[in-house]
Amino acid sequence: MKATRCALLFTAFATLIAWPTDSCSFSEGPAFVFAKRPDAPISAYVAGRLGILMPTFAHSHLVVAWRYLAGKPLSEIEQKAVRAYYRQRLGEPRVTEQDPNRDGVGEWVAVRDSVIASTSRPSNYRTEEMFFSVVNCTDDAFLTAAATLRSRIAEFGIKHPGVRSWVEAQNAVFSNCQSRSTPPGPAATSLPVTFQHDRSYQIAAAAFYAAEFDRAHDLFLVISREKASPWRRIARLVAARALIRKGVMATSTASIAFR
Amino acid sequence: MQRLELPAAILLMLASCRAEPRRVIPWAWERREDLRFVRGEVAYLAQTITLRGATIEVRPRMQPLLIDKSVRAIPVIRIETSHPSLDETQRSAAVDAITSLRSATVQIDFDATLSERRFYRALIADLHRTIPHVTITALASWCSDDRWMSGLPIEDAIPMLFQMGGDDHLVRTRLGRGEDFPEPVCRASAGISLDEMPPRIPGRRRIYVFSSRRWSEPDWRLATERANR
Repeated sequence: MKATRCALLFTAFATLIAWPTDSCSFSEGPAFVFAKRPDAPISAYVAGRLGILMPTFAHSHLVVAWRYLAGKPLSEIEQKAVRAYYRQRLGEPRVTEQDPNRDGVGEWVAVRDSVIASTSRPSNYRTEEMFFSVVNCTDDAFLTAAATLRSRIAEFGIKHPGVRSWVEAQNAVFSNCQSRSTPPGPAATSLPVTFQHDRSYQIAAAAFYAAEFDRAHDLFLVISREKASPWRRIARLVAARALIRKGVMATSTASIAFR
Repeated sequence: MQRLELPAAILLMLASCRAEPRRVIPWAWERREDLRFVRGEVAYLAQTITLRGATIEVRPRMQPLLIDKSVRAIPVIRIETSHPSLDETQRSAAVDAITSLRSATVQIDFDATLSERRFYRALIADLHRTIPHVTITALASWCSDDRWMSGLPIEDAIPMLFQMGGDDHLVRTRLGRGEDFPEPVCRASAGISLDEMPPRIPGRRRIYVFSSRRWSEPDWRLATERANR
């Protein structure tokens, strides 16, 4: 009897002193819809099955809804890009074969090293004053370089002096990504014309990455007028990019940042 | 004359007893910050390293930071993980990324889980070979009951006394009773946030202050005031 009374007393005491606590769940109330994002599967939402829309959705989700509600559905390519973006936002592992954000630097280094092995690894970023960096060389630049090198190797062979010279020049181009560096020199006249065209583009690209935008603009325009250059179409576009970047960079960082 | 000397001496003694103001250091996170009104030191997010699978993604600070020329800038490296392999290659790449900042002092911010601690321990040891002054941020629990940092070659583990979750009540109660952290390496600094009233902070400490919005002079005054409460 005494033991029962003690047990009851103990239980009552333990109940009274128990500290109220939350479970590991991060929500205190029932949740029937997500506040920030649509319900899974996200691919259905991206394809236009919007479900219950919430004004609290992240902008990246609202913009998709807006497109469908405005009668401007996402194309297949756009849907793919949006899905990849959401995957990244949700911290899901990368899916290499469909990932638009391939490791450009890694791909370039792998192909480059098949011609000239090096421990150097270029960077996407240029460090500015005031402790911050900007994306100077995009992944696409590295992917284009890797693809072009593969193409030149396939056409001329890995031992061709033009291929080796091409890689040295491209290394010089990418050395301007992090900070201004020496640009590549002109190609030897003995090299096939393909390498001559490539070198003109490499020299212009080096000027672009070195933030010599006027010079880069002029060099790209010259290339765009060379009918035989495989780079003439893209050169016209990059000439415009040089002007845009010049405009962006000319606005002093301080005035952009702290206005 | 002698009658005046004694009270003057007592006054001088009392004045010297007055607690020195604490060193207060703002954390400048990934946003545009103009901290030219701060003197002393600023700890700024310099790099975010994501260990994703077997790869490592290194993202430098992308927002400008303005500070006075006299101020010492301490780079902070935030480490995040997503199903990391935590192998030697990944660790070596992380060390390369951090040493590329070329700073003799770094502060690592990595809420390492239990399974990530072996990696973190080895990473800090590797860093210490080339970087003489390594400090880390620490969950309050690491400084209290979940002590795993002993023997780490670090100068300072900064207990983060905000957003403590389930530990909040316990930590506040203990500090409120005048207790200090059992872990000795946690007794030089403390991290607080402008969003929360900090708990009672014992003794002399450097106080790092986090702000969830862009720093302003009034906020900085508030931070200094709270740090010296």
